Amino acid sequence: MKKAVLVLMMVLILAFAFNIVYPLHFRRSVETATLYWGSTGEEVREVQRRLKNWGYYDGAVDGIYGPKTFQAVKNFQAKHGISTTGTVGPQTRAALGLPEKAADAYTPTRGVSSGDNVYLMAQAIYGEARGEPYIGQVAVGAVIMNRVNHPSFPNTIAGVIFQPGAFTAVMDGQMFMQPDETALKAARDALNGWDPTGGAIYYYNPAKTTNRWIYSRPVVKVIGKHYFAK
Amino acid sequence: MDRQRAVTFVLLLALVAVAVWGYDQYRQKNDYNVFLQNQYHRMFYELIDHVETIEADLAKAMVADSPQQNLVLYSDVWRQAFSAQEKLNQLPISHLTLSNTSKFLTQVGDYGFSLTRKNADGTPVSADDWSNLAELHNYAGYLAVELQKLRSSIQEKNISLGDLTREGSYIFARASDNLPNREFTRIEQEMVDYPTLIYDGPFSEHIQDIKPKGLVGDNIDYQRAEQVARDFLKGVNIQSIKKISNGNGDIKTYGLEVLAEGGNRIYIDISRKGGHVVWMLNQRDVDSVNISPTRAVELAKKFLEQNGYKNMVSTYSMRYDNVSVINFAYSEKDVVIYTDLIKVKVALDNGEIVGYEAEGYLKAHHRRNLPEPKLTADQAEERISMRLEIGREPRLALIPLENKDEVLCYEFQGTFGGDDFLVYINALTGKEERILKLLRSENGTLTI
Repeated sequence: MKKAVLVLMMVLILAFAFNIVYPLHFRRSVETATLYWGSTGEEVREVQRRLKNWGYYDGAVDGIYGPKTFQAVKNFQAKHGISTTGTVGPQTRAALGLPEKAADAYTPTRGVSSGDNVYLMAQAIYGEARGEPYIGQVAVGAVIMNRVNHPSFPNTIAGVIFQPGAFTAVMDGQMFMQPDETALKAARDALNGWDPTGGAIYYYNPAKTTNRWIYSRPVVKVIGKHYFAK
Repeated sequence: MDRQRAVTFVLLLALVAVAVWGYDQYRQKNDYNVFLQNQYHRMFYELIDHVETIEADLAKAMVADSPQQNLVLYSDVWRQAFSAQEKLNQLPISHLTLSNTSKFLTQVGDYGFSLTRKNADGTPVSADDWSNLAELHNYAGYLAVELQKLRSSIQEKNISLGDLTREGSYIFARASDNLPNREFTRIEQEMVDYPTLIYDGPFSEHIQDIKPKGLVGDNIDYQRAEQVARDFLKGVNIQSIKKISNGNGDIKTYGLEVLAEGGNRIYIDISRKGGHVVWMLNQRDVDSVNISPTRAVELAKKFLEQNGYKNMVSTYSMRYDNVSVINFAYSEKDVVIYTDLIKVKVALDNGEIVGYEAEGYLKAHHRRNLPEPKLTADQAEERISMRLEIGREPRLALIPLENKDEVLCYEFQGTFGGDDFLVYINALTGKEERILKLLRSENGTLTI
């Protein structure tokens, strides 16, 4: 029983200590230094830049906190109802609109990649056009890209590929095959902007299609068995 | 007798097993059916919500008078229209039937975006904008009412999946006929960004008909086109060359197929006007790497010069499948013109040019009167966030905006917290026009 109380107390003390220490530590990491006569560096330069833009300062933007900067800061403080100390503390900093340091809490970007859609597009190309010449495969990829950019179609690559009824190979599940090297290569070329069709947003195989509407679209290119249309 | 009984028993057992299996299949099918139907209905109901919100927002925008209110309304229109379009395109209805409604929603979204931009710039809403807003509001209302009709018929008849498709097709076909089939604003905001070579990618050129500005010269016949192809593919041992297609896109072309030594095929499109090579792709597989990326850039540049493209500067490149794709931009008086792009693909085994793409250049290149910058580089630098640590000296660049305008900017390169950025400051107004993030990898540099 006593042991349990002891453990509980320890947990509480630890939690309490953490609560005090943690925010303090956190606050310190974003805390910024006060700037004063004699300060140098990029932040001083920024203060000078701003004061100069607003007409308080007419010296050089050199990053050295000298008498002119001192006077300019005092004038700025007087104008904004801050006590005229001639130093840039938190209040003046806020009035100047200086950003707080955020770089410490920032992790370099890691989630953005270019390879995400290559495989998906290669699957669509392989499912739709695996018997076609290479250029015909690039063309199918280009149609997908053109649709992404076209107002009448979804705005993402996945949106275009998975739009209900848009591609036969997606509807009957054929696209979920392993694409071959050629389809992957064609997908990369299409993603990189090669468009053998000259801006087509439809294509069909006249031997197979039963849709009469599609024949009314102007054909812009014929590659292999596919007619590409706008 | 016993045997017969045994057979009967086994058959009965089999029948029961099949019945159980069949019932299980039936239940599964029903589950999937209901699941899918719920998904579709959710899309449909949310679509109605979005369209109704758009109508309400546009109505409020007519009477709102403060920039703060306008900002909220315009950006909400933009957001709602995007969501609506996304939901619409997930309905189990032929995309041919939906396309005009989809286009309308995109245009509403684009309009919201451009007004958000204008609002942020402090540009007043013009008389044209007001009448467009009113018109879009009316169409949004029309669409909302049509969708509501579909909803009540679904609710009355306790509609199933097939009915949603059938009745929906009918309503959307009618709506499509009644929605505007015209352009409001043509802008190119990207709802989703994909990493590309700088200012390149499928988004660099507008898909709707623009007159290619870079096509100069007289119309050529097929004989001449074949000669252009032969000249362009100098160094390739050509076995045969034939026309396989006519291109009737924005740029009218002769599409040629070249059979090279070893059965390798090369495809090349040559413009009818002026006889420019629009693009070329060599299908050859590249199996090894013998030359460095720097050497590849030199070879690509030399190739461009040989083909009459002087003043091209390489920007960024990427590597895959043992080839290097290098992006070149036109440069005039030390200003990089990012709209006039040519991509060259170099095989890293022997340095052969295996791909070429000049659509961007042929569509955008023309004689320009570049304005003189009104700001100095130092003045422009003052407009940049102090969080950005500025790297190399800024340079002047002409960049395309969403609305296809071209603006003269200072291009600053800088880093923040380990990330690299390009920031563009308008050299005439000092406006921060664009920020690109660089993605560096061992395969090259892309921007997003």
